[in-house]
Amino acid sequence: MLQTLIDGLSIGGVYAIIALGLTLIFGVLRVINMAHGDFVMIGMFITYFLFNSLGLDPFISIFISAPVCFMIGYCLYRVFVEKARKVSEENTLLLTAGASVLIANIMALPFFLGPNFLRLTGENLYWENKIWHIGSISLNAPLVIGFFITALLIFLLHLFLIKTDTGLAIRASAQEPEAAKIVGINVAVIAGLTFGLGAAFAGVSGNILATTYPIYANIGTMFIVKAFIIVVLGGMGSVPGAAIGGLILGIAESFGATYIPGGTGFKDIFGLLIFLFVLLVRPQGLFGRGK
Amino acid sequence: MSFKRKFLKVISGLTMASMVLAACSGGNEENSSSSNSASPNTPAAESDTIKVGAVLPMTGSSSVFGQKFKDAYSLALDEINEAGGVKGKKLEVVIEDSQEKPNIGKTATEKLVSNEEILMLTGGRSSGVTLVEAQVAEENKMPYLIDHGSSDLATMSGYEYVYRLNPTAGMYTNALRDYWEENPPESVAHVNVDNAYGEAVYDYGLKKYFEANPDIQYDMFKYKAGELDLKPIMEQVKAKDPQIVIMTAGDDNDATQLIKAAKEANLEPELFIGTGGGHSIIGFANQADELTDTVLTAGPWHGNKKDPKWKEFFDKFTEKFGHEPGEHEVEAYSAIYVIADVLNRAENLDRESVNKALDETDMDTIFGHIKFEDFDGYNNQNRGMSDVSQWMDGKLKTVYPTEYAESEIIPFPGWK
Amino acid sequence: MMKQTISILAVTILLALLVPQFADLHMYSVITTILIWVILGHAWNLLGGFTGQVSFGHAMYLGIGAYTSMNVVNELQLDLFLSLLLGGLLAGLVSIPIGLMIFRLKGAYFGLGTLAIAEIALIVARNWKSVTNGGEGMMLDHTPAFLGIEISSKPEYFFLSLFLACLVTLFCYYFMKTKTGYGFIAIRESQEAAEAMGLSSVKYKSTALFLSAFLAGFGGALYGMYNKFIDPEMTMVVHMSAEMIFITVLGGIGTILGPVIGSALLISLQEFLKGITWLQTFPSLYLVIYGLLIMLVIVYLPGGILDGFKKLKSLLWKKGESS
Repeated sequence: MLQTLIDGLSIGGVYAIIALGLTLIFGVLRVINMAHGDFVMIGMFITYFLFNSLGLDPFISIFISAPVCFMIGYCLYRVFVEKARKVSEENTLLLTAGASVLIANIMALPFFLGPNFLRLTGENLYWENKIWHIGSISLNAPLVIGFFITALLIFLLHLFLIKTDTGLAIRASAQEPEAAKIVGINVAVIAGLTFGLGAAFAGVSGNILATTYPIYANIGTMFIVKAFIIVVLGGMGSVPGAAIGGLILGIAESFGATYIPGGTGFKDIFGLLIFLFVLLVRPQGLFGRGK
Repeated sequence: MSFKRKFLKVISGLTMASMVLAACSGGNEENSSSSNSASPNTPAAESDTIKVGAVLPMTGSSSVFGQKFKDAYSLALDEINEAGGVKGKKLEVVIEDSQEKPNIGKTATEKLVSNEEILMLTGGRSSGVTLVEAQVAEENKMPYLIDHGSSDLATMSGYEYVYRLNPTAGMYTNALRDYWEENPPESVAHVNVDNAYGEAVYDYGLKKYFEANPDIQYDMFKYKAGELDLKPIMEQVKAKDPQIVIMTAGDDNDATQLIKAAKEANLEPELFIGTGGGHSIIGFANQADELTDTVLTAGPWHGNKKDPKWKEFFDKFTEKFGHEPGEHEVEAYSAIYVIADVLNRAENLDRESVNKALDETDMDTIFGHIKFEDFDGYNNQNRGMSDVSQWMDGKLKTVYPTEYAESEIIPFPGWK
Repeated sequence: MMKQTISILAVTILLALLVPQFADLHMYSVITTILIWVILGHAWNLLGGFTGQVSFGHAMYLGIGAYTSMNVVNELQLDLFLSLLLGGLLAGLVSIPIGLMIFRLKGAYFGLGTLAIAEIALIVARNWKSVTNGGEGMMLDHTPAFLGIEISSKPEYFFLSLFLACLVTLFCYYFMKTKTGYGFIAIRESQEAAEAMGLSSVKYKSTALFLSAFLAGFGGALYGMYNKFIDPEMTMVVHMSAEMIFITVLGGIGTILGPVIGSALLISLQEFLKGITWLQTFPSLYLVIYGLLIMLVIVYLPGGILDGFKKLKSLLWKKGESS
């Protein structure tokens, strides 16, 4: 029972970082980024590439994945998303869906990931199959580290949004874009920054996941659905919501898979049902404010 | 002229243009695939190459398999053509990409069937594509030799033009069940993949054994192919404390995720047994490293290792392609030899004669003796051999049946 | 109104006469696929294009239609005509409670809701062995007949699909000229204004959804029959939903010809790219172009290729007039 809980929390922590980026993008820009999972995949790819060419530890290469994903996200926003936003929300949704197809398939080209499943393995990988034992409980070491990284990032994000000028600018453009413009905030750049930041978070989660999971171009689709479930559950735009929502989903899936017979075969259904329930009954989620 | 009239012109023009585009794509493929640019209507007899078609996953996540077949085919083709070819003509395999999707595999098969120069088909690989290829072949009276596809239904549907060289998924566990006759297990947990392959392995294979031996405890746990988090399922398995854990995985990725999850959950049975598929390819050892040591796999045998011709193939392939051949490569290589034999025996170079010759096949290959029979509900099925092998240091060694065994079964020593 | 009908019929007759002249098995394959996707595109377009409700889960209706039809044809030996209609009908009926559930969601939330429901349906299909045979899929076990005519060969499926695609196109064309059709457009333009004028948005949206689901089920049933094999991965996955959206958006969202052009273009493009040998090493290139096209169309040419065409024509006309 405790083991199941711990497993759920470990994976939930990583889900939370993915959701964090998505909720930021939605909360501030009201954009639903269907390509979010693909940024996770880009992070995984960078980790794989840097490990195999330079022997860089996945946690160290976070310092590279994050800026790279940030830049790709920023450019994607300024070149495409910005323009689609002017038309409608649905348009943006369609656009990011197209972007998801584009990114996943560029990465499937032989120059990057190719069509196969790749994995981070090798003698120098300290984290390979690393399991820590505390009493009778086994912990997936890299995921536990990831849990603490998530906590750190949430804390840093919070500080950033409250204490820094840019953070203030982001919150201002989210609440009152017109007023923000008048005050001299370059709303377009701020929006791009926010999008980039969200993408960067996704990239970081990719680093953590690459230690344990296979890496392939279409893995983004696995994560995007979970990310949406968490964001809706926690409340679109709520940072604590994404964190708590991630943990809840992780635990729900873990318990569902372990205790319901045949559960693993359809364990995704639990998350989806939670998602629908929240969407219909309490769309603002646990912590969000009503629209 | 009114706007609407112009519109009509535009639309018909556009539709024509798209059709021309589609026609060009058909045209391209014809020109690029036929080596002596014969038009599609020339009968095969007049050409100096004999063509056989194969639908394989050349792109997509299973492309590594498609490549195995292409490589092995090419080795056999080179040997055969160097020795004079078939009926003095060069033998050629035309490959179409299935992307491992049934509906694309269908179009690919149809493209091959449209080509009147192609006399028979092979390939398919995945259950879904093989089934679809078989359907199209049967409908169009095109002989089809299945070389790897394991979906039992393909040779259980009474088709007259479809033959299978390899054991079906249900037959994968034949050798394992023979082993169990002498050493019955006490309790078995089966972690099975939730798709056609997993279902066939159980429905047409393991089910018979466990229903006949109800005192052996058997529990099945299903997982979705591609599932990332398999630890919960391993915890469930652990709760049953099974003596033997069977795992079924369609690809090496799932096989790897399974064994990793088993380690994480600290699941320690006496033996881990895979059922071919992902557990019998080198990708499993590459991805899971030392976790694969002592893992068994029950599936098609990798050929008659005592046959000197097998050793010759093994060395030649390893040298040319830089990695050891496994069951897929042996099946592919043997299939081409069967095809060459069939074409040599065919009265005329037309599909009906080829089908007749295929039906009468009775020859030895490095994959064993090939003869197509009707038994146990199967028709046109070769009694493909299966075996049980064990991974050690990244190599697969046969451990059962005893007359082909290279080493003894080493029990699982536990996670350190 | 007559002129549009005539042009649609003319193209149909043109195809019926020309295609058999030079088509081989492969060509028939490609064209029949295009025709089936035309039907599926129209289905999505009715709800997404004309009524403005962007659904990301239409693959579910496709799947319901395909599985209904496959079961009914295999078990009851029903005529294709009936089984296609039944497939559509069941999909339509399923859409009613779903609509009531999710129509309160607006904009992108609606899209997400449809996606979630479709994913749940996919999982159900994978696991409900007694009805769908799970991952193993279902094979068509005999040759069905459409109104008495046996349909099994490629040309036969081509003519059937051509006939049905023409029928569906005409249906959509005429339907959008009715009061209900205009109601759909009113909802798309402004739900509040429409309601202010007395239109029940729930009624109109539900009708749109029903028709859209019906057509998707109908098209899905045809898709299953044509492939003679179905499994959850080729019918109910989000990729199919996305394809329905993309061909419509690329062709011209909210127009009758949009799905036709989008389908013809995208599928021909795919076949064309597959035929170029040096591109074989980059299989995902087709999808890269796909994704890029979608993004460019949404941002720069929201009316799709059709819109691009109109703009091009007016550009040429202007040049003609001024010279």
